[in-house]
Amino acid sequence: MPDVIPWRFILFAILFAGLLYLQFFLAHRQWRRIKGQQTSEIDVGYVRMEDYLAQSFRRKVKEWLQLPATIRNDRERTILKGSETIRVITGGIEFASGEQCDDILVVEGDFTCGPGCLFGREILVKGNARIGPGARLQSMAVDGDLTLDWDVKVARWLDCTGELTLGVNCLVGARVTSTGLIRLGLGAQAGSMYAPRVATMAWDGTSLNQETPEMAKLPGIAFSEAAVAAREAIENAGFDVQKLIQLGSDAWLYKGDLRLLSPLRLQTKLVVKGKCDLPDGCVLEADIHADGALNVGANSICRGNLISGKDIHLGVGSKFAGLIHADGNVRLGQGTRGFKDDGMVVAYAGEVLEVERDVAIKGKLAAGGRVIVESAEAAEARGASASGASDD
Amino acid sequence: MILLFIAEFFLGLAIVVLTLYAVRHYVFALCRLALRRPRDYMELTGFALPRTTVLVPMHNEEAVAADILQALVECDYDRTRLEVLAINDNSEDRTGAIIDDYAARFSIVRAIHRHQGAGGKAAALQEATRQATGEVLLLFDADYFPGPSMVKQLVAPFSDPQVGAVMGRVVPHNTDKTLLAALLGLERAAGYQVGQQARYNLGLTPQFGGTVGGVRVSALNSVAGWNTESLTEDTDLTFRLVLHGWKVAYVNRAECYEEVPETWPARERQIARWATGHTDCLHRLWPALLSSRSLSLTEKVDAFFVLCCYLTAPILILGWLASLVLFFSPQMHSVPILAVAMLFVGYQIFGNQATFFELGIAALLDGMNRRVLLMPCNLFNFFASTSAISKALLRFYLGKVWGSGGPGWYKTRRFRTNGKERPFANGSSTAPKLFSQGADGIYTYSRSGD
Repeated sequence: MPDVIPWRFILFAILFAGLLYLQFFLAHRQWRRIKGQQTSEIDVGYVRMEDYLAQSFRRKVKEWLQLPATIRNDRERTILKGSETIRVITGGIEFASGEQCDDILVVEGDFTCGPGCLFGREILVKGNARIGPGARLQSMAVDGDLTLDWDVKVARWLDCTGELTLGVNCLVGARVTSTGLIRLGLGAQAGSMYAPRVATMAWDGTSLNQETPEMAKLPGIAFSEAAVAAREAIENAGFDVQKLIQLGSDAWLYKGDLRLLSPLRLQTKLVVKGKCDLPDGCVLEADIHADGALNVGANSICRGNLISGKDIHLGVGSKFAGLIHADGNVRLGQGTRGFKDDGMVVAYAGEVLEVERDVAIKGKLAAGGRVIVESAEAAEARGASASGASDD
Repeated sequence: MILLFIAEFFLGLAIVVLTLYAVRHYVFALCRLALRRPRDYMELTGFALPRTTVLVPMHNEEAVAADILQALVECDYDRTRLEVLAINDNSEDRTGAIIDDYAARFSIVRAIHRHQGAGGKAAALQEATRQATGEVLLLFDADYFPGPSMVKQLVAPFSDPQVGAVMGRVVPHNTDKTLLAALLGLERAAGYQVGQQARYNLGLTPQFGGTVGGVRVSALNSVAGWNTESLTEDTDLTFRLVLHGWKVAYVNRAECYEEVPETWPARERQIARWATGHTDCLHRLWPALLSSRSLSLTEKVDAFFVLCCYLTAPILILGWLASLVLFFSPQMHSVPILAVAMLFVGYQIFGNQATFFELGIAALLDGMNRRVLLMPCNLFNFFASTSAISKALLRFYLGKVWGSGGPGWYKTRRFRTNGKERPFANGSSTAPKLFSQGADGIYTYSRSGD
């Protein structure tokens, strides 16, 4: 028996040494493989573009069109690229209701499809396109106008160079982009919408960002050490000066919830460490951050950015010219306008961004969850007026 | 008996401290996997365009100066709202001439030549900040490769008025040069992809790293500017900002190439400076951190974890020495040796696994799964770093006792030259032009064959 124990020990030691050696052997082999080859490649040329998916598809189509094709008839040729089939159609095409196609389509004219059609792959249209109600698409890029009738479902993205219309209750899985105008029907949904003009159906083309005569008379609140020490003007505006702390020369912090009862013209950046309720008719010339919910009253003008750790509600008839960014939900009230003279605006919600009727912006509506245009039922439930019904 | 008591104390200290850090590694790695990012600044990229000044401090940077300036003049930021201040900080080589050349050719580039005054990065930044016209300052070290959208990505978080500083992610480009560089690549990935992002997700303070980052001028002024006395002015600024009520944002997607040390001596000097600077910040800021009303308890705990992190190296060495003393001691001790030894060995398994777990998660998130095979070699890096940090901190504390300074500011050695070994796929000395801007600010790709 005694001579068995050393053998066991030796075996154990060999096994241990072997495992120890193995990890360094694998490490050394891996090092020899990557030596001289950059392993942590990043895209140094990365530029964020809202219509990246569509541009990428257009580039690929351009390459595919250089490949040899099989002529099917005088209007159509087929290109095979690996397992992909690309059908190139000269002139326009019209699909009857209920038709189905699982090939990539390149249409060199107008494209129309009837109700209930199903397209399993991407489509590039070099004219205008109209999609019938209840159709199902993968993705579509259009070099013209694109109209989706009601209840169309798009799995990924839509892009066009003209006017893009999302009909009632249309659903797009990811991005909707246009270099022209995007019109949104009631109940339409998408991951994001980006265009020089994004508007609900009834938008009259106005941006309406001018102040009213009443706003010109609003008391201006600019925080400074002297103004806070003087107390009167700040307290009259509804602030508790004990809760105000200077962050920097142009920013102040308010410790606690802030609820103002009379409108004001805010001229200093403000960080509210609670929720923030602002009354109707305010003019916000500087950025506001609220850790809690941020509610901006109706007919307010927001020239600064609005940031919230929770939800943001922009009241009816408000205008904004900066960024709106909430970790939770964002609701843009009826008649909201988002326009900026020298750039674009963005409203982003970490969860859901809900758009009421008659909203128009220049820029982007986006959400971590979904951008949803208020449905007809929801509008009615809110006591929508008869004029709202014509929004559709 | 006293020696044994001291040994038991240090062994216990080592076990407690290192176990706490091990738990922290696990928490961060798991939170990085599980928690959603609190705010996706990428969706705001390009919509917030404040007047911005990019500061590039350079001391004897002729090897790399042209690359960084070329990258910056090619960025896609609105030219009317951008200036680049290239700071020639007492250079003795051609750095000044290269800067002047760019200033003559590009109106957005301004040259600042410093031939006197205090040396070091913070002093150079202090002087440049006085001349900057932007409301936001972005900082890049001379050996970095900012991509065309980097400025837009880094300024986006400043749309939030409570953000005082922003940090992007650095990714080493020379990880294929030496084993050390490859290991430092893993370490950086864990630090940014897991550590910084997890800290941001948890509402803690990501660290402003002094490069590939930015600071709001009003925030900087509110804390009396750069600390020219600090060896790690970035860490110092991070904590002074949060003590004042500002927040630091982290943008993981704002990735920028950097160069990591390829040789052990260069690495030793780099980490010695970091260790000294961090620990110096700890000594200056701990009373303010403890008494702060703007920080939550969790933020305070995390701040101490960050500032004390380099102290773990000498504590570990003391723990090793203590365990040796206890092991060879013939006497019986108040604490059973076996239990202590088991705990310590347990830490070695547990602690290393925690670090390795974090490195592995980072590699996984980066899509570089096979890089985890290099991790056993990280032991070499671990022992080298432990030794370098301990030596630096010994010098630091001896300096405090004898009234002399610790290690001085050391500029990390550059391993490449202008236009050479650049990571751009086209092999040119300039970043590829991928886009053109049309009406209404919409970008379109112009690269073919992609």
